[in-house]
Order: sequence, then structure tokens, then C-alpha cells
Amino acid sequence: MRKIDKIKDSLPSKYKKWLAKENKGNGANKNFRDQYDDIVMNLYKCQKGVCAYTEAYICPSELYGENNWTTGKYIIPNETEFSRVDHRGELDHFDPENKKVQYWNWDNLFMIEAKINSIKSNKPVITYLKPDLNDYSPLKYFEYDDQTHRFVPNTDIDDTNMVSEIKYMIDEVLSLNHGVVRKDRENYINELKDKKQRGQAFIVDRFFTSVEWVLDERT
Amino acid sequence: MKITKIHLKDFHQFKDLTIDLTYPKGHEKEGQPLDKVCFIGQSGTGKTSLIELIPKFLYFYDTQLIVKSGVKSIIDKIIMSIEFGKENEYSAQLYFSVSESEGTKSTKRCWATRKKREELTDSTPIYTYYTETWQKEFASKLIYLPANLNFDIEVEGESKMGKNGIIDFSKDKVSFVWNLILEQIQSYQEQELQIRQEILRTVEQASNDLTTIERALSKLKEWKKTEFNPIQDIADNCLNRLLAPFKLRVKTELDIKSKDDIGFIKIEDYAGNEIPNGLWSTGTKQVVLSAMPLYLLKPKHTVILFDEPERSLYPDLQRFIIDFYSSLAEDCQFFYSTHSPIIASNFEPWEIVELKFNEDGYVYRELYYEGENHVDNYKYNPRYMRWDDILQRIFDMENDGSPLRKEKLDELATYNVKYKKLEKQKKAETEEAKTILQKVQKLTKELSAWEN
Repeated sequence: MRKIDKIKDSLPSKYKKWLAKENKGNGANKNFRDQYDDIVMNLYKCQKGVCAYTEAYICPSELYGENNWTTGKYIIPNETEFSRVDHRGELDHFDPENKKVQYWNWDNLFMIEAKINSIKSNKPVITYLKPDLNDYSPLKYFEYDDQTHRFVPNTDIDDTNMVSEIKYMIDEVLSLNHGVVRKDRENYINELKDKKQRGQAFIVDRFFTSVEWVLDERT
Repeated sequence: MKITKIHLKDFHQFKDLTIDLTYPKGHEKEGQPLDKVCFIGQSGTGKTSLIELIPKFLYFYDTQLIVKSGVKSIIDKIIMSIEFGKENEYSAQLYFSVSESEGTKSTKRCWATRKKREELTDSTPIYTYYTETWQKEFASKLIYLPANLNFDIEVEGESKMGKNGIIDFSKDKVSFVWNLILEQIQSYQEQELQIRQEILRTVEQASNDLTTIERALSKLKEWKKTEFNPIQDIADNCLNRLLAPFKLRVKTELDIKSKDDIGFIKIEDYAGNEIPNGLWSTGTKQVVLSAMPLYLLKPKHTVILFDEPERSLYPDLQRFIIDFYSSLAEDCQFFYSTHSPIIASNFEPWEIVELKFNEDGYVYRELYYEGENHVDNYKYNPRYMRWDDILQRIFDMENDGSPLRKEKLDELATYNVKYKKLEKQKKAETEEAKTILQKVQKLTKELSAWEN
């Protein structure tokens, strides 16, 4: 679960204005439904098309590419082979309580894989694991084992409560070791390893944290 | 006769659900109805309900579901589209609505029929053709094998098999189908008995004339070679293959003097010891009682409904029974409902209908393709997948083993990380590192034989 920079540049001006207000009020009352695609695709742009938690590939770059914004509005060109719904993500409210107060709060929104969202449901994530925090880094809290391809709490953390807390997040909330995700990650890393060994060029477009850990490939 | 689409407007947990039952684009049977369909999904998603709705629409037959829900529950709520005819030249939409005539209300099945899309046909003659000609002369009766098959293997008793429009084994004993070949068996046995008696007479009358005795014996041999033996047939072409994993086979040499002696089919072990019917295992009963009706009824141009075909079957049998059942029917459409990943692995991805609950508690179909419904756009193909992959990706099992296995894997991952850290710090020779390595090796041994 790597760090995410929540860049607001391409967000619609009406939405940005609302975000900039000190006393925003309840966003649910503000109807931003008509800007849903703008918000979702901006999130994908910040997350590079992967699930904010598991880093599984859930949205093709063609959907959130720069060409899809015309005069500040997200419009997917007709000639593209993709439609606006060709992604596997759902809008996650990091803090479920905040959803009730400010539904459209940009800081609280992430795109995550639909299956992971149904597992997370309304469970809150520990605040220090928010991927867009200034001082967040996956290395502080997680380590990756390239034999079992599992994330574990950082073994340098002495506080056993904190270790249990992170482990609970890995298993029950963020689904970092979800069976299918883990298997896909292992397959992906092995594929990259093979390419690297054969001297073939490759692009890393998912599972960034684990790839960096195992292959030392920064993206 | 095959179903091409089921649309449920509003029925129990179904709301505005359309289930397309045709082959996708790019398939050699593109647009044609599926030969077999497999409903999967969590208990309560309505797999059995879908199966039990079919006889009502196709044959006006009330299954338990209709009896319990009442006919009112389906009026104007469900439409089934079908194709029928020798070359599937007719198509129809079947639904129930209330017609009011002369002040009385009645429920009737309504039809909107098309011979071909461009050639509109009056519905009445098609309806008559369907009920009077197609169902009575060409197609055999719909067969329903429920999950809780009646394992009673007594062939005595009154059978209503097929008299109410379909062959419903939720109401009839499966063993009744045995009666279909009882007379054939009796006739075969009587002829054999006759020839054997002739041989005995020959031996008595010409005990020293070996040539005459040999001629009499070869007559029996010749007769056996040419005469159709119904028991041998069911043994060779149906049951022995299914009984082989149990080291059992059909007993073909019977010592019977009358029809009453025949009873139900006899099973023996490979040493020739008969296994009394009362001592058959549940698995033996299941394979015999599920396969035999299809073999003896020889269904054609109809629909066969099979709820939980995996019941009491060891995985090795589940691997091939679906193809085997298909081989016993001619131009039929099978509907299965299952919880077994092994049964699911027998299906092409478009033949699987996975039912899931949405957040509002209504059921939707999980699609396995993205974009256009084309064979190239399907993400899974259960026939190529490993069992564990089917369990994880199709049956949504989150982990690849028990909770204890997961715990141990987490433990191993943690020790691996710790050991590698010590290695990096050039502390691999310390006592701490050695202890960790021992734990890694022990856990790896326990877990690695089964992969990660």
C-alpha cells in the first residue's frame, strides 16, 4: 500500500471551491453526482490505476489519461475502445464516519477494488495507515516476504498492540494478503523476474510496493 | 427444446434480472441456446428456485416451489424464452398472466411466438404444435433430479412416473425406472433358461455324443453373442464405469426363475461377491440412481434438471459425470445447481451462472467477461483452472487453506523477513539467526509441500 499524492489540479472548479471552504457543511447535500466521473478518474490518476490498498490493477491508463479532460471536464473520447465503466474499482470512504458528514470529502476518498471494498465494508482503517498522509510510508509499517509473497507488520515494531493492529488491517480491512490478490502478485513478480533475468524490458504498472521490495525496481 | 433467456421482473430475491443462456460471440455456437447451464452461488441466492421454475413454464407443472409460493407469485413476473423444433426453428416467450373472460378470472400461459424474427407467425398453431406434436411426439418428458434423491431401491409400489407431465424424482422413486427394462430382462432370462434346458436334455439323451453336446453348447454361445442383454448393456455402457472407483460392477450372471426374482439391479465386487442392496454405500446409490434414469429413459430434445449432482460423490467421480450425463442424452439442455468447484470445472465460462446478493439483498449475475460478451473477453475458464483457483476466483474463497494454514504462513513470512534482515546485517551466524532459520525450515517443510 504505497503513498498516494492526492493532486487536486484537474478537479472541477465547482468541486475545488467547495473543498476549499473552511466550513464545507455536509457534502452529501451538495450534489456532486454529476461530477462523479471527474472525481473517480482524478483518483485513478493519483493512484496510477491501481487499488489504493492492494495495488491490484483495476483501471486501464486510457481511462484516466490527460486526453480525457476537455476544458476542465472529464469526457472520454468516442474513438477510445473503453467506456467510462470499464474499471473494477469502487469509491471507498477511508473513514466511514466521515462519509456521513462529508460524503464528497476528497481527502477521505480512494478507489479500491470492488471485492476488497465489500470485505472492508464499514470497517475503519487505523489513521496512521492513510496512504495520502505526508509522513506515510509503507516501509514504516509493513514488510514483504518474497517466499510466501505475504505482507507482515514491520518486524522492527516492538509495540505488540501496534503489531496486532497492523496485522488486523492486513487481514481484515486492507486485504493485502487476500488469496487472489496474493496469487496475482506472486505471478506478476515472477513474470517480471523472468523478464529481468532474460534482459527483456518491462514496465511496472501494479503491485508497486512488493515489486520494489523484491526486485528493487522503483516506479 | 432449450431455454435461451430467463427474465425475472420481480420474484422473491430476484428483481429485474435477465439471464442470457446463449453462447457468446466468437463461439462456434454463437447465439444458440447453451447445451448445459451451471448455477452456482451462496445458499439462498435462488439456484434451486430457478431450477424449480422451469417445469412450470415449460410443462405447466407445479414443483414444490410453485406449490409453496402460489401461482400468483409468478403472474406477470417472469418470462422464459425458448427455442424448439427439430432445427430449433420455433421460438417463444412463455409467461403467465391473468385473463378475464365472461366475468371469471383464470390463469393461463401466454405465448408470443416467432418462427423467425422476420417471419411473424400466429401464436395459436405454434402453441398447438408445441403441446400436441412437439411435446408428445418428438421430445421426451422433462426430467427433474432433486438434491435429495429418494434412495429407496424397492421397485414395488405405485409409480406416477411421467403421468403428470414431467418425470419428477422429487415425488417418484428413481428405482421405478428399473421397471422400464424389467420385461426385457425377464424375456432374456427366459430365453437363456430355455436354451440351457435344451442343453441338459441333450446331455441326458446323448451323453456319449460329444459333437451333439458341443453343438448344443455353441448354440448358447452364439445366442449370447447376438442377443441383446439389457443387464450387460447397462453394465458396459453406463454403470460399470461409474462403479469402478468403488471396485464394484454390475452383476450380469443372474440365477433367476421368474420376474419376481429379478428385483433391482445387482452389484458385486471384483471377486464376484454380491453386495446386498441394503448394504450399498450412499455413493454407490447416488451414482446408480442418478445415471440409470438418464440411460434408461434415453431423453431427447428436452430439459434435464439436476440439483447438486455432487451429492455423496468423491471428487474423482465429479470430474467426469457432467460429460457422462451429456453423453446419455440427445439434444437436451441440462441445468445443474452446485456448490462443488469440481463440478463447475466441467463447464465453459459462459455456461456458469453465478448468483450473488447485492447490497440491497437482491440477486444479480456475476459476469465473467468485461466489455462485449465475446469468448475472448472472458477472464476465467474453469476447465483450464486448478481446483484451488476455481475455489478462490469463482467461489470467492478468500484464503487458500484453513485459518490455521494462514496463521502458519504469516508466521513463516515473519521469520523469513527477520532472517533476511539479520543476513543483511551480516548476523546470519548468530544464535538468534540460527534459531530463526530452524523455525523457517520447520515451517517450510510443513507448508511448502503444499506450495504457498
